Amino acid sequence: MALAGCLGGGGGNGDAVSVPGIYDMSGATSDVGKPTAIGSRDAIKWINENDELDTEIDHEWQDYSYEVPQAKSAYDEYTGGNKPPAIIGWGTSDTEALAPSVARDKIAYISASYSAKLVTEESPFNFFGNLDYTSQARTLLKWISENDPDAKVGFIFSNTAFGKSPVEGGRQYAESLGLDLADNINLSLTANSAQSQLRKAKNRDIDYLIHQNTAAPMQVLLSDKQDIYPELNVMGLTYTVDELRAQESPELFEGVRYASGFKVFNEVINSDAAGKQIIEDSFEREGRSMDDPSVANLNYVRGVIHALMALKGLQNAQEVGNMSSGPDFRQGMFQINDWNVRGLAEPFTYAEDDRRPTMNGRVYQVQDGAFEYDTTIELPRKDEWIGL
Amino acid sequence: MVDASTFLSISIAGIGLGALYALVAMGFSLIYKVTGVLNFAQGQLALLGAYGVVIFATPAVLGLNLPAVVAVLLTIVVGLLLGIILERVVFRHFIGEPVLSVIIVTLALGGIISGFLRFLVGPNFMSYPDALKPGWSIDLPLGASIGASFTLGVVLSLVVVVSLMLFFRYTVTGSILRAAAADEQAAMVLGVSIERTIIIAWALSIAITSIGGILLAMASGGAGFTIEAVGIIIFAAVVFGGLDSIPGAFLGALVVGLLQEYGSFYATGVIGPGAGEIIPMVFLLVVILIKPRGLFGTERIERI
Repeated sequence: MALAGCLGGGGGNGDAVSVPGIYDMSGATSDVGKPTAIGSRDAIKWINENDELDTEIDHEWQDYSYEVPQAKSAYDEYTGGNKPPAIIGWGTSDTEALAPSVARDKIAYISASYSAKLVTEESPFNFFGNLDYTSQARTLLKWISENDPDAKVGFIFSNTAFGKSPVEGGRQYAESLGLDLADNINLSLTANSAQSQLRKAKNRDIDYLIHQNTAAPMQVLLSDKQDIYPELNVMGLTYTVDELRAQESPELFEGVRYASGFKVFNEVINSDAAGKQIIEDSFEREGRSMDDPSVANLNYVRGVIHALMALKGLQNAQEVGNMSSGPDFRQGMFQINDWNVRGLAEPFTYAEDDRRPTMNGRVYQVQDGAFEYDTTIELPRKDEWIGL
Repeated sequence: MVDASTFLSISIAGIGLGALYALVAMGFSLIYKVTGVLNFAQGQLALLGAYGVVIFATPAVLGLNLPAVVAVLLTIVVGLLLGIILERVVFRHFIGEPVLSVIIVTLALGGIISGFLRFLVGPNFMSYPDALKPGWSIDLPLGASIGASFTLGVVLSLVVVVSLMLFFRYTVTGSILRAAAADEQAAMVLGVSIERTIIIAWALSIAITSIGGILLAMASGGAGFTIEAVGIIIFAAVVFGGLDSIPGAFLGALVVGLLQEYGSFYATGVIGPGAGEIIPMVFLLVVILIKPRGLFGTERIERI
C-alpha cells in the first residue's frame, strides 16, 4: 500500500524548490529501503532547519512498495504540474522503469541502483552516490589480487538484472588481474538452501566467493557455509550485508568482506566528519537511538548522502542558472569535483561524459558483528568500464 | 562423470530439504483430505510459524524474551489455536460453497498473514536464538553429512506421516475424518459430528505447517520472507503424491527436494541459472498431464 507523503512528508510549499521522494518503505526491499528513506528525509529536514539553501526544499514523498506501477503513478503526480529539478528515488525497479521518463522530462533522478548501465548516454539524468556494482566487485577482486594472488575466485548471484549486473565486467577484470576464475554460481533471491551452491564452490576449490544479491539469500548462504564449506571466504556487494545483520548474526558474518564508496554508520559517528552533525542532530530531533541498528546503519548514511547530493546539485544549479530547472540541476552536478560529501564518502566527481562518482572502494571486514575498515582500493577510471 | 561422494551429499541435501517441505505439504494434504479446501495460504502459514519463534523469543517485537523451547512450543500452540479460530470464524461458512470462493479466501488469508507479519516485525530477516541454531551434524559414508535442521526435519516429518497414518487408520476420530472425507453428507446422516473433526484437522494442519516453517527458518539461521515461496513449491509435491494423500505428500516433497538440489547442482550448466527452481515446476506440469491424481490420490466419483 502506498503511503502518501502528506501523511509523513512535506505538504507542498509554493515558495520552496521541490525535490520529491519515491521510496520503498514497505515493499520487497524495504529492509534497506526504509532506513535509506529515513536518512534522506531526516537530512532534508536538517538542511531546511539550518538554512543550507536560500529557499526551503519541499520534500513530498511516497512509499511505492517496490511496485513499478506505484512508482510511475508517484512520478506522474510529482511531474504533472511544475516539474521538479530532481527526484530522490530508490532501487532498480523504479530507477530502470523511470529512466526514459526522467531523460525525456529532463529531471535528475538520484537513486541507490548502482548498475553501471545507469551512467551511459541512455540514462543522462540518472545519478547515484556509490561505486557502481561492477566496481564494488572490482574493488574486492583487486583486494584479492593484492592479498591472495593465487586464490581461486567465483561469482554467486541471483539470476536477475540486478544480480547479473557486476558479473561480466567483474570477470573481465579478474582475468586482467590474472586471478584464477571459477564458473558462475546462481543463488535465487528466494533461496531457502544454498547447499548445492556451496558444494559446487567446494568442488571447484573456490577460495573467494563474491556475492551479488540481497540480504536474505546472503544469510542462507552463510548459514549453510558453516556446515558445507567453512573455509570459504565470502565477499558481499552493497545489499548483502549491513550493521543490523552483522550484529544479529555475528558468528555467521564473521570475516565477510564488503566494499563501498561511502562510510558505514559507526565509522561516521566515531569520526570528525561534518556530516556526522546531520546524523546526530536528526537522531536527537526524531528521538532515534544510535544503538538501534535497524535505522542506525549504513543505509541511513546512504540516505543522507542522497539528500546532500540533492542539496549540492541545487546550490550549484543556482550558480549556473535556475535551481528549479532539471537541466541546470544536472549541470550543477557536473560542478561537483573531489567532494567528500561532508566526510561521509570517498571524494565524488561527476562529469558530463563520466557520471561515476568515485572509483575508490573502501574495504571492510565484519569482526565480532561490527564493520572494521581495512583499506581503500583505488581503481583506474577507465572509459571502457562505463556501462560495463 | 558423477562423483559418488558429491552425489550422495547432494542427495542428502535434497532429502533434508524435502523433509522440511514435507511438513508443509502434509499440512496442505490433511486439510484437503478432510475438507476439500485447497489452501493457498500454506506458504504464509509456514512463514507465521517461522516468525512466531522470533516474536516470542526476541524482545525486539513484543518485548518478550522467552526461552527458545518455550517460544517454539508457544508457536505450535498458536498454530493449533489459529486453526480452530479460522475454522470457526471463516471456513465453516464456506462449507458447500464453490471451490473458487474458498481458494480466494485462502489467498486473502495469505495476504493478511504476510501483511500482518511485515507490519509487526518488518521486512527484515530475523535471526533465531542460538539455541535454535544447532551446529551439530551427523557424519555419513563417503564424506557426506546431514546438518541438524535437516536431521530434525527428516525425523519429524517421518513421525508426522506415520502418526497421521496411524491416526486415520486406528482411531475413532481418524475414522470419522475419513468418513467425512469420503462422503460428508452420509457421515452427517449417520450422526457423525464432522464439525468437531474438521476443527481438529485445521488445528493439526496449521500446527504441522508451523513446525515446517520453524525448521525451514532453522535451516537458514532465522526467519525471512523467502519462506513464503514454499507455498508454491509444495504444490509440485502434493500433486505428485496425490492431493488427498498424506504419505503421497511426504513422498512428493522428498522428490521435489531432490529435484531442486539435483537441478541446482547438475542441471544449471546445461539448462542455465534457476534450473533448481524450474525443474520441480516442470515436474508439476508433467505429473498433471500424465497422472492428474498423482501417485496415491483418490479418484472422487460424483453422481450427478
